Amino acid sequence: MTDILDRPNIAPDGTTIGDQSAESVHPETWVRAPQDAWGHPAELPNPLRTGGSERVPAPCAMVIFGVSGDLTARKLMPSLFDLYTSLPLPDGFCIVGVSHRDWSEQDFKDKMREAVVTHARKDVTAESWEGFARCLSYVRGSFDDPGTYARLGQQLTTLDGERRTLGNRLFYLATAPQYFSPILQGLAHADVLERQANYLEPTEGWHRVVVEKPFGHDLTSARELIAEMAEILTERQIYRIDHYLGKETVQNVLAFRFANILFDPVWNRQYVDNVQITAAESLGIEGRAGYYEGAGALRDMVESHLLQLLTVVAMEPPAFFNGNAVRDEKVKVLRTVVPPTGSGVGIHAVRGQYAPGFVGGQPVPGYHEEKGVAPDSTTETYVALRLGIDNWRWSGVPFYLRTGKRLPRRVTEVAVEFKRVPHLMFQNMGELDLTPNVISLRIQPDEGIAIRFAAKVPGARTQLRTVRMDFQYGAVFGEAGPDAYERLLLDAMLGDPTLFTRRDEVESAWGIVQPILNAWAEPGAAPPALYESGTWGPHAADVMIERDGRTWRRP
Amino acid sequence: MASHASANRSMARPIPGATWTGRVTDANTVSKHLARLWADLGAAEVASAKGDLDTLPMGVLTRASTLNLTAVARSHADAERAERAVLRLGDLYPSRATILVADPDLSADEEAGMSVRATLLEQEAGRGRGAIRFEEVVVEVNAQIERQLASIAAPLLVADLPDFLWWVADSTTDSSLFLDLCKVSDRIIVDTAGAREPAAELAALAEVLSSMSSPPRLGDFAWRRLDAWRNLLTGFFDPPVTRDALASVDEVEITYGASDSQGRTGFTSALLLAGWLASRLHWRSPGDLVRARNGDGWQVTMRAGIRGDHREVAMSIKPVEDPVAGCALASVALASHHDGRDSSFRIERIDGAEISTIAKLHGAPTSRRMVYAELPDDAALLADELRQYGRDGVYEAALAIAAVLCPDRL
Repeated sequence: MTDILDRPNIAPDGTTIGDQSAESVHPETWVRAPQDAWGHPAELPNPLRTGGSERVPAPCAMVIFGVSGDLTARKLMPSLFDLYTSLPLPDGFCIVGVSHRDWSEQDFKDKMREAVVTHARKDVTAESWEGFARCLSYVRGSFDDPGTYARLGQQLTTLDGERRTLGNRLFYLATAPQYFSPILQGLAHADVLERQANYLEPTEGWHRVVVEKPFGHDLTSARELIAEMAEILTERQIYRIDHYLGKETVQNVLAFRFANILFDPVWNRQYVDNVQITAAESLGIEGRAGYYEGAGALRDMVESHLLQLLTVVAMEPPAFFNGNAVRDEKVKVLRTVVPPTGSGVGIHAVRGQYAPGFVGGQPVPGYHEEKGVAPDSTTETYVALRLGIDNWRWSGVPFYLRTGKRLPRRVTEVAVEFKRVPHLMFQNMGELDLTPNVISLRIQPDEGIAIRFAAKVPGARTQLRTVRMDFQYGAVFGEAGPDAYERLLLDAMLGDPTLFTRRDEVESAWGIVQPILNAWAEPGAAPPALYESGTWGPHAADVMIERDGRTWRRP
Repeated sequence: MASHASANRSMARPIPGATWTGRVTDANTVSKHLARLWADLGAAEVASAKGDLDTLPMGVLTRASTLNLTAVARSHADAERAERAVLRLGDLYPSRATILVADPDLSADEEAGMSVRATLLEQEAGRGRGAIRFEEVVVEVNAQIERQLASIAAPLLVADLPDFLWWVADSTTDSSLFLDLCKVSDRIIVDTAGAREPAAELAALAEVLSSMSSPPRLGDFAWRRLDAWRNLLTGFFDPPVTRDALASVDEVEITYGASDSQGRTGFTSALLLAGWLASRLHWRSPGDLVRARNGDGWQVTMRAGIRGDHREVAMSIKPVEDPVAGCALASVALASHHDGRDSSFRIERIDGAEISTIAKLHGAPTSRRMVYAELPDDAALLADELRQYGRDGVYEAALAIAAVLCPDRL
């Protein structure tokens, strides 16, 4: 009996492939016909498109919920304008704003112009604005009114005809998380948003949803949110934004690690003594007590941004720079992180709260004096953690994470501190002023990479000193990179989920912080340690790291 | 396809006191003068920082470079043009920029050696990113010893960096210097819009690519000016419903600016666009362009189809006296007539900042769009070119056909 796979015109499922000539049968069609971004067979690509480096998405309509909010004004609309004037957006791209505000279409455009003029990277001229404004339209309505979604559906159908958006729809939920489910259900009931298969390109236009963090406020609520969204959408349709991953410098950590041979041999437990990840802010809560009181630094920064930084520093090399290859490796790291639990929380996790003090020479109030903060609030504004990673590469290497508000300066960095040389032959030859080698990856500001090493001080005697070699993006690539949102919005339109957070990443990250949240919520748990504003955090954090014979860096 | 950076980029400025001028006989000594400028500047700023090194501007204690740019000018006008572009380049890719000027006005009995001006430049990077510093070296020699410029350029290149050559001069074909410099450069940037003899220029470049054993990576401002046009043309045909119309295009009309204020023409851009369409869509030309019967431009009938499908494509290329076209295109129109289903696609420059598009697809409503697309200036084009490094196979394929299309006598 002849195996059907020996017959070139028969697919493995037994169906006959259309044109039987050997010339016209693409070998891959036996498995599954490759498809382009428009869901059509790749045998019929646009012949004018060339090369793999072009990043032009299919025409689509982007629907922004919460278009009257701060995120739209500061980030989304300016980023979309910058993308529009740089020409990667396709003919037919359009934006539909949805909010409850009683705005006319012209009011909406005026508000968006104001936002773009204030926040866009590019200059706004009359011509460039007019072109962009033609992409904008507005639908008024509340998120709990089915009529809102019906009107939105009509508007999208009109745009499909007028601008040939082909049914491609990107929904951006720039709203508080409690609106996610009502909006998705409203869209689904009105048939504006449909569930699309996980492993097949849609044939009638893609539907994708972008949601902003926080993805829940603990492990249970995160799982509930994931489950609610999964009832309406497949994972492939969900793009969870953590804008840290859109930052050029975070992506450059991947380039630094995986595009250079130089650093990989020492990037492991054999040479690395410890890793310190710092995200310090000099600002306080800036009037956001309503949000911050319910969140705190552990949820606001550690669960998302700091663990994202940890994963890109600690992950194994992915085989490809694509959605699942990168995210698989990130999840593998998160799953091997050992968080402190039970009584260990008191030893390996420190929470703090800022007290009055001086930042940058200015007197600033303590957290309890901030407007809207409960007088007995135990919300932490500072967290220091010692985490371990139980895998072959990192076993025994502590990862120290800290983040806080009202610290001396705004800085985010990852510092990889190396072990000392096994034997120092210079020890009897004069003055030594040596600290271990450090590679510091500065995320913001002054983005760059610095390497600390020992050098001989010029002179007749042997005197060694630690010097620092600094690579600063600003001094080398003067061109400001795109805003994180520009990159991420374009990725979402292109259907590239690499820099978005997958559901198992969300669950794993909450799984790391949940034992700490639990311990801090115990009756009788010690309250956050106070630290004076303008200092590097509470004394307890110093005690925590000094217990290991180490000290915090002053980044 | 690259996007043109804004032409509103701010200018770099010389750092006060960080300029050296003089005459040298050996280019190697220029590097020593540059090193001295950096050392003096660093010492002065470290002293003024009074020990607080965190307050120092970026680049005082350490510097990193990304590329060498060598620009070759054969007139004062070209030299000034190069310097203007370099001064607006700093916030993109700081580098050592060397401008070599073969000055026809310098007499042969001029004092021996070459005149050199080395300057440290500073450019505000904006948004609290501090300033970027880079070096500019201008070397002037008598045009009669132009051939020596290649030997002057080599020692001025910072080691271990990609070397870009910007040939600002109008024509490459009459210069052996061009070929000499090709050998020491990684990427060559020309502007065929300024060529005195476009046909010879395109043919010569195509010849360079096809004849050298390891051909240089070539870039052309005339091609870069097409970025927005190619982007928009391509965008017409992304929706799969338009593919049939693209596959049955039988008329193409390209109009270009006959001449801009500097005497450059959009003719080579028009030829390259024709070459691009032909190479992507597998159109073959039976010969070069011929004068249109009415004397208005050029025309050729191409043949389309891979396997014996001899559909004809009537292509015409016409000059227009339109200042908004500059030395690039004024309009492109494609039309298809297939089984009684007529479709047309047109792109037209409206002014220095906008391009309009109109697509009439059979059976679909007419689609119109205004697109913000500034006419790129030298600095924007150069910046885009410096972002490219590898060979541009799409350009090379377009150039090969453009060189065939170009009439011998123009």
